[in-house]
Amino acid sequence: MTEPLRISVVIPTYQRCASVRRTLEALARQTIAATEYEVIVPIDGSDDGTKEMIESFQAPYRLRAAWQTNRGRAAARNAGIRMTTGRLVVFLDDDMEPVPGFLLAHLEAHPPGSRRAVVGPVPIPDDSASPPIVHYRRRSTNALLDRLARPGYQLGFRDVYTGNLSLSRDLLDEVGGFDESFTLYGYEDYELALRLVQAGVELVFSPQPVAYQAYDKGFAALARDCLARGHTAVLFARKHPDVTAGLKLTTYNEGSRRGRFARALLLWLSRWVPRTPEWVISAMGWLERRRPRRIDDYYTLALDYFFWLGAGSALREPPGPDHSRASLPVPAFRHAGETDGSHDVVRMRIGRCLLVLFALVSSARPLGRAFHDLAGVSRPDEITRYETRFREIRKILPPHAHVAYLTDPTPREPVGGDDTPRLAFEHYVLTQYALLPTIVLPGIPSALAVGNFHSASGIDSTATGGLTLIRDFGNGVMLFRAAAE
Amino acid sequence: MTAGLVLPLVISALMGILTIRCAWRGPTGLWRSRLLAGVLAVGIGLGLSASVFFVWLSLSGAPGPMYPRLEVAVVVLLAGVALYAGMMRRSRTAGPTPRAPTAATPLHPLLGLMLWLCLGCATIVFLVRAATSPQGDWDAWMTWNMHARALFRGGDHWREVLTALPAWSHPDYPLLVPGSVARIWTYAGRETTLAPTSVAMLFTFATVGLLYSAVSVLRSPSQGALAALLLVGNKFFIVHGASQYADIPLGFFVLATLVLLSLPEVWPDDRSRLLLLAGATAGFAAWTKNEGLMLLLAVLVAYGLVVGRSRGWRAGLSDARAFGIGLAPLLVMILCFKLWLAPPNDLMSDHGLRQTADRLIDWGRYPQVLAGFEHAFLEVSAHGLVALLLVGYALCAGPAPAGPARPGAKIAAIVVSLMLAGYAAVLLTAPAPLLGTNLRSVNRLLLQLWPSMLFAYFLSVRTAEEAGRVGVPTATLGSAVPPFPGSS
Repeated sequence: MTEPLRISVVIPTYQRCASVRRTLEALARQTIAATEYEVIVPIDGSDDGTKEMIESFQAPYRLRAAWQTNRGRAAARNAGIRMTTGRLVVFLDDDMEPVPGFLLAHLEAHPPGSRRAVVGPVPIPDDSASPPIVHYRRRSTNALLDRLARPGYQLGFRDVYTGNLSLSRDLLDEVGGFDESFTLYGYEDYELALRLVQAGVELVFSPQPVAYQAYDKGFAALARDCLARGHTAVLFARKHPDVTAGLKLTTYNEGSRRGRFARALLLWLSRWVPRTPEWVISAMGWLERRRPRRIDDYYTLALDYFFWLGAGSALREPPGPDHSRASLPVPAFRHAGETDGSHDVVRMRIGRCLLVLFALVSSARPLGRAFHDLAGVSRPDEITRYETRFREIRKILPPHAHVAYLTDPTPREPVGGDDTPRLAFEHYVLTQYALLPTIVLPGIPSALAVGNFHSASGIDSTATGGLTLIRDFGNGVMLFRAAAE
Repeated sequence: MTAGLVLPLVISALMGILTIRCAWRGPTGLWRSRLLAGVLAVGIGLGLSASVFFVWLSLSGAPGPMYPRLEVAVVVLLAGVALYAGMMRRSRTAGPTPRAPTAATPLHPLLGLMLWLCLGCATIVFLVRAATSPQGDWDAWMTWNMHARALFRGGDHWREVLTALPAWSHPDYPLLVPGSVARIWTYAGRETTLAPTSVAMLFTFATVGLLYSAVSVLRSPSQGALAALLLVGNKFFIVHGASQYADIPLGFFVLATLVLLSLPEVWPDDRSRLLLLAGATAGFAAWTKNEGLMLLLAVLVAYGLVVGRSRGWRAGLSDARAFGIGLAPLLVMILCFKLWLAPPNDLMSDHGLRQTADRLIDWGRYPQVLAGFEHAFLEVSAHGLVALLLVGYALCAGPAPAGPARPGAKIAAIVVSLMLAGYAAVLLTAPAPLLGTNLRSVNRLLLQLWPSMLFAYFLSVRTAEEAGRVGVPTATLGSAVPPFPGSS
């Protein structure tokens, strides 16, 4: 009779064939007998040959794969859990390379009768040739691991990650496995850990079962992860509104003033320009090539922006049937321009009221002037009155003819041109307007000339020199004939 | 007298309505869409009748008693075509007429009341202004009404009279507005100031109606009411309308073109016919003022950028053909006028390559032009208050989600930007003596584009209805988030 398996390793994967192969090879070098463990690889809709690779992989241990259509990491892990036969289940990510004593260390971290979930370290190896994003991730991961390894540190559900985690199959069955509504990246591990804590399970960090991360993501992939984490953070908060204190979702107003301003600016811009995230990724690519001294600050800012972008998008989506929007405790975020519908409606109402008020005041203001002008409506307007002077002369002027224009030489300047006083020019234009279709041209010798003077008494002989008056129509309007004729 | 005034307006309205019916199946049941068709018909009718009048003048000289019969014949012809087009459409298409997307959302009663109040105030201001200055303001009578007199009083010699007018009267300017006025005088048998006043009033309030109905149909009634409120609440717009400036009719045709270019997204079945109408309104814009020619260029670029890129160049060419068919007759008429009748434009007469280059590198002109635009902007936008309110409102509302109005908003924004850039370029290269004069009229250039700016703005911002709706789709993330991006 064969001995029952002690460990089942579950490695969910998506489109990372080469990376999974490295993980499987590392698992083949374990210090415990290959008959004591099995490896299950739930494939979450990959079409990059992962399935074929696993089928042809010569593993010393029992290796099985399960393919499912893409449903997310939580569903893939649950599919893996259902296939396990070992008492202890170890979760590994598909980019991990566990050390030879990895499985033994996990086994030893679970003494008989304990109710524990054991988190192992996932350091990123130091390699100076790595791109700056890997260094950035290594520094942040190491800081987390330092904190977890601190003596006396009590793990909370927010310290748990499923890249290197072990717990008994019985505990998983007790809490019901992962929540499959987390179809996007992130927060499904916090969610499981929270339910484990609520079920009285002890969370423990063990420094022995080390699994090195072969970190190969670029900034764009990391940005997409952060975007998804923003989404799932909101989903988590909706499911567990009572334990959101300390979550990133409640820290919108924390951090440097400049960072918050830059993030708010980017978030605002994203609402207007849908391509802003792409531009940010391009800008980070440009910065990565130049490797400025403060590249880590830029990474933090950009990734923070993507997280809140994802969170903002999730906040605008309708909550699920069992999650109340009103109970979502993320007040800080609502101050930042990424608000839910009710706040938008209130602000838009205020904006609309201001616009309407402005329109109303602007429309009503000219009314005073209009009512004042109303008194003058019964009188003919200035142009009509002016034209009346020319009524008689128009009757006798030959239509379509060109006639000369005469006016007072002083104080008026010769008409036409920019240096002409506007008043004199207006008189000339009005004369032309009144006398159409006769064309009135100043200074052009014609057989006939129209005189438009202040008054008959004011006529200066210099203005009419060489012309013979044919008729005086009164009010300073006269018709002249050239002397030659 | 009254009949002489009303009859030509009725006939031009009939021409507009029937032209719309020929080209566009139009909406059924929804009164905002009917209003949209109605106000478009007002402008198109006035443009069409003015063009027919000009063609008659050019071919037959002064219109005699036969002329109204010709227009009646045009109306009968259009009615026949509209009837035939309607029958053809009924036989081709089954099912109900597509409705605009905003059919279900009513206008908030308070907002409606405010709109009526502002319209009432604007009407009083307009009428008092029109009564105290029935000949219009300085530039209106010395150019547009002067040209109308030349057409009407010139009789068979109208060409000689018009072209002999001094340069300050700009005899090269297009003749839609003077043609409309002279046509009414022809019907009335005498000159009456009611004619230019009626034309000005129709264009002014049709612009308000067009903005309201177009934004209502493309976005929401509340959004349309806000847009109309801001237009009608602009004293500068109403006063210039009453002053009979041709900038208001030009503003109407620019807006009408942009609206008609946006409508195919709502009524895709009528795409080519709506574009044909857009071509016609763009042609009327060019027949109203020389700036309208710039619209043709701007529309071509904007449409190519927005629709050509999204629908492909083949579809773009097909659209351009429809637009061109609507535009062609008017373009031919404008070209004939410009080539054989109008004297050279004073702005363009001194435009050698060398002079233009010299003016462009005259850096002192740039701050002058910029200052001119700044001054004009402050004047049109109530000392910048409107702009401030609009920016604030945009920050509150956020951008409109993707929808049928988006291409229209993009086209409108690009067209307005290009036209502003074009105006600036013309000012920069204007001969020195004209620069100062032209800078004083920049406010009217902005006024021409003001309705279109509001149209682009209110198409681009989120509506109150959308803000109240939970779960507004965000294009930002939809495809950006992978379903399962791998391990941590």
